[in-house]
Amino acid sequence: MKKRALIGLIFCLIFVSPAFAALDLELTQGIEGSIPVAVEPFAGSTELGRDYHVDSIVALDLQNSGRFRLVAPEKAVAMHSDGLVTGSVMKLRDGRYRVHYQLKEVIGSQQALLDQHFIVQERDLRRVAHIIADAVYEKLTGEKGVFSTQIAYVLVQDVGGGERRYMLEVADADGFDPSVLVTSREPIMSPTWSPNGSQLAYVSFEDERAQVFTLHVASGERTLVSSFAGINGAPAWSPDGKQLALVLTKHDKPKIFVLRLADGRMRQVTFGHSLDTEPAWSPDGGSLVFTSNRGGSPQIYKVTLANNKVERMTFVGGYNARASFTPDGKHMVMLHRERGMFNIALQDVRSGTVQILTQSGHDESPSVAPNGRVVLYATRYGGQGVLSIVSMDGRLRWRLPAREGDVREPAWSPLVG
Amino acid sequence: MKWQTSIMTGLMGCAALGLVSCSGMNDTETVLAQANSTDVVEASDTAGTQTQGLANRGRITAYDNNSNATTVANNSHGSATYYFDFDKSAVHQADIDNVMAQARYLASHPQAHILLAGHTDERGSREYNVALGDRRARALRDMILTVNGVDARQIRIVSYGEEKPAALGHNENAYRQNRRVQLSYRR
Repeated sequence: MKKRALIGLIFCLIFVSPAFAALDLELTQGIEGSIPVAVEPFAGSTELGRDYHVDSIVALDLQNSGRFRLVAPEKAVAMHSDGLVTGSVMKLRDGRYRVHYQLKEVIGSQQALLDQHFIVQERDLRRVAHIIADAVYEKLTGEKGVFSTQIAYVLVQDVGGGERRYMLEVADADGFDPSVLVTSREPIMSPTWSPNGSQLAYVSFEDERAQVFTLHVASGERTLVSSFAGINGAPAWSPDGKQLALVLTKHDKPKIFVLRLADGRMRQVTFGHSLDTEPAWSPDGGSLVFTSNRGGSPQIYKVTLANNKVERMTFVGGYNARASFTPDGKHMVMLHRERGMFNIALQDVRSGTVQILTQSGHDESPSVAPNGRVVLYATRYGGQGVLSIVSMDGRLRWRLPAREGDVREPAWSPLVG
Repeated sequence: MKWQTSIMTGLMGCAALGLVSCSGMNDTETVLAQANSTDVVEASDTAGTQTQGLANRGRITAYDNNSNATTVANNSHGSATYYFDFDKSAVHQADIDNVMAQARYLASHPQAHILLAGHTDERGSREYNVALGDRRARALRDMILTVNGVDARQIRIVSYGEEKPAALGHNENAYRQNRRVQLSYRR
């Protein structure tokens, strides 16, 4: 009975807010055990434009975080809801909006746990909604929310005559408000964020050669950082932002190098005849995990930077690639192939236990959210490349709004501020 | 019937020249792949002279500064596509003659330069596929460099991994067309 009411509520949310009709939530195993929370429609919000319904955005953010279960406000007490969000939006004489919200305890003293207001332009209403969702999330879970973060990705469009247009875009974490940073007629690959969120590094094939650039997101200004003959690929910023791990074929085989950005000093960290690629830093900056076929097929290995010692990390399945650590360093997320199907897997670093998180068989390019709770990845749907998010326990999955063309290679920004 | 026979002979002749690589694919697909290719071979023998040919034609004519025409030996050089088996970078036996012909041309024309572009099918991780495409291109390069007189600087390599497929399907037919190295002449 409860479950049906829940699903009914979610359907209501999706249809009542037409702006989010494209967002598709797949409930894979139900959402038992999540924190119940209620969001009341904000007074005055019926005056707002389609994409600016603050309470709907807050509700969807909380629901899609994988931590919360939305409950009808009138049932908040009966459902032992942890909190009730109420608020109002008022248009001021100068055209700006005053948004006020409260997060209240439902039972007990019913005190206001949060009480804030904002005065913003209409175009910043979504940002305010995300800030509110972050505040509610943090208050009720003790963890940082990621609703104010951004995602970078590559969008590929057919422009006729066998030609394609490749774009590097940045959008809000929910897929809204995309901006194009780079447009090219040749492929763009592997966007990755600097730890302070101000830059992206990426691979460009303009001039029929692979090159690695860094790009200031705010200004669009870019710098060429690697242009050797052969491969220049798979850039990854160190946690302190001072180094970039890269793949180069300086000695004929793709190897991992670390580039010190201040002076351009390059240091080789993997050796031998194997194909080594896709480096990713450990949270403490002391080691890199990477993909290598040195054992015969692509598997994940770890190299300790102090002494270049390499150890193998994956032993389940014949193909593991593109691994990255969760922020606490306790898990790795990676591309995993089983019986020809490519899915996203989660591996416990200490125990080696592997859990498959997705099911489509053509998933790739996982990127962990900066709070470690969900994973953003690329998949196919309706004949297009789209982005999806899966919760770390594999229970919740949803797709971001589809675009014209194929979206691929997502990268989740760090937490802002 | 006579003209039909001569066309057949001509076609068989062209096929025998090995300029069109058929390894690993059936003939219909080969023809389509070449017909869709916009690769044009341009190579400068000396300043101001250019030879031009299309990969699916048997003859290439070179004009020197005095407009004297010499027919470059058939099977000598031209843009070409070489195909590979899944997860492999070994050059097919059937392609070796063509590769060697390209190498001999490079050896005798030090001003000629080629680009070897490696590609893979879409399965697997993107950057790992860049590494695989690179390995394929290098396999071609290494074979070309066994011929005396070819300078390594005449060969440039790029790997696009799975990023520039020739065929857009998600099946073995498309995968087969995408596992390739494209050789083209560049200035």
